[in-house]
Amino acid sequence: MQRNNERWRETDIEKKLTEMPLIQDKQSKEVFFRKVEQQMDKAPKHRWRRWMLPSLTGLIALVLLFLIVQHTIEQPLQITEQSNESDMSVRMDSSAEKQTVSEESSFSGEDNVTLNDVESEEVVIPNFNPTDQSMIHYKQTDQEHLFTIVASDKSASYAIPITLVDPSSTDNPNDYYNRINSFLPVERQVSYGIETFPFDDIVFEINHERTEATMTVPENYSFPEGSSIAHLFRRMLSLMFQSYEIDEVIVQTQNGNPVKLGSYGEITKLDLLALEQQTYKIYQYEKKQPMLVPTQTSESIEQALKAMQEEEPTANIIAPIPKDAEFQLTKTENNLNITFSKGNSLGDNKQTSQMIESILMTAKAFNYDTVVIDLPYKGDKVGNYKMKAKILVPDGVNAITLH
Amino acid sequence: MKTTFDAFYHKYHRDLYQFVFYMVKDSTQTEDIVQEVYVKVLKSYDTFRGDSSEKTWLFAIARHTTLDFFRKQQKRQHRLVELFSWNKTEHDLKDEKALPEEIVVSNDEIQQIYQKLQACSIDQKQVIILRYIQSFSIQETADIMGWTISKVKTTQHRAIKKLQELLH
Repeated sequence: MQRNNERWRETDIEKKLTEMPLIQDKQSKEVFFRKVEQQMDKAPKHRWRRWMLPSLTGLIALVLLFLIVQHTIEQPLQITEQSNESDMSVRMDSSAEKQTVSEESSFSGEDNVTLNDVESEEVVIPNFNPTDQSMIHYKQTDQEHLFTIVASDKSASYAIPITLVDPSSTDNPNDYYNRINSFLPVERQVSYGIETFPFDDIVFEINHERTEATMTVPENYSFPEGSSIAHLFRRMLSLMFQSYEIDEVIVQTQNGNPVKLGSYGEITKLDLLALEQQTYKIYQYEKKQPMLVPTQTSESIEQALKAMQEEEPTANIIAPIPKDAEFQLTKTENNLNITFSKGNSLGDNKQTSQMIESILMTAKAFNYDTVVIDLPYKGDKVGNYKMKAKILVPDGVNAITLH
Repeated sequence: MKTTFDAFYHKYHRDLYQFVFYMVKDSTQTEDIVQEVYVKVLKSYDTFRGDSSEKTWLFAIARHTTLDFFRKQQKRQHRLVELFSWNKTEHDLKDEKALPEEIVVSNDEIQQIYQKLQACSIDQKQVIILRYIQSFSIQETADIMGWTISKVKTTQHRAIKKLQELLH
């Protein structure tokens, strides 16, 4: 009652959720077991029907296939054109039958309970060669740990996330966030065309179990000048700590005093941005290595994909989706289907491969797990990406593998 | 079969019932779903490969069974809309279920949250129940949902935000 006139804080809601009462099953264990037992006894009838249907379909399909093949073999002297047509029809019939059988089979598999029984379609994780210049990363082993560090573009307009991939990590984020710029030496900055933020004076203390972060600076700390730097810095921290669910960073000097943080003035804490529904585009400075960068928040995935057709030449931002491309979307709970109907440059080329990587990252920002891409060209793959297949969204972006 | 049933009942029944109940908010439907979960578990326990923990496996089955229930319910509601209603929306047809005794005796804040939980999406509800009401870790929740950890975190964050909006 007391909260009617005041705001519910997130922490209040979380606390109350943990206090939700235990709802008891009122029936006894014995009564319940009898019900389960009865249900188990009923089950075989269903299974018989489900099993019989596809089996009969399969049997009929095989008989038909046999008759058609037999018919073709018995008439070998017909003219070539006719023979070709027969071959074609046999292939088509048999594949159609296969499809029917397989559809029925998956229906019959309803009783086989696995973790994948709702979404049984295969999900593809692209394979990369070490020489591939991919902008996205998929975890190769469970032992691999990923940490997001950040840099900025040359004009200090965008925060660029960089995934550090450590195959043998301590999993302590403080080991990484307190030497961010050591992972981005000058030669790497040059090859990417990026700038680093002066993180060296800042000590981060991240407690990811408690989703807390503290940044401590020396008493005489001087924040870089520039009206938009504070905002860029906030965006950088938001990108870095997003995966730890950290909403705010405690900001203090070594003696516990507030810190003057550019246009934000003197502060003791910095609220982080949610950075959801981001639209990824390509940052490429003077033909250096391209990088994916979240550029803006979009209201919907449709808007995000439209925005991905807009370039920003002054900031070296390339539109990943060609301007002339036309596409349609179909969305299910976790999958995004994109069918391109137009796009002259779309095909098995680097530009399309980069477009796919940008789409995968944008889809990930919109909480999709997989993306199916269909292009108006005959090939079944673009670079490492299989077309018309569920491609898993990546684990990391602009990755640097350590060791 | 009885031995496996006993073991699962002893270890997980309370949590399983709790999970399904908070999803469907109806004791009869909960009993039916939980029963179906046990049938599936007992039928396939021999083929359980142990790739995930037993508990995660059980709750993944419970999750799928509950989703199936919602799908069937949705189809039924569509048919009802088509058959009986010219002016009513689907939302109008949804019945307001009585609060369970355990919630009735709780304080006003708990009652509000219980009711607002209904307005969250199915995914959001599942994550909230697993994470807060059942105290599953993020990794366990991700395993049950078949999601990435970051997706669990985002869904959890959005669910809390949604509840926050609804409670104002």
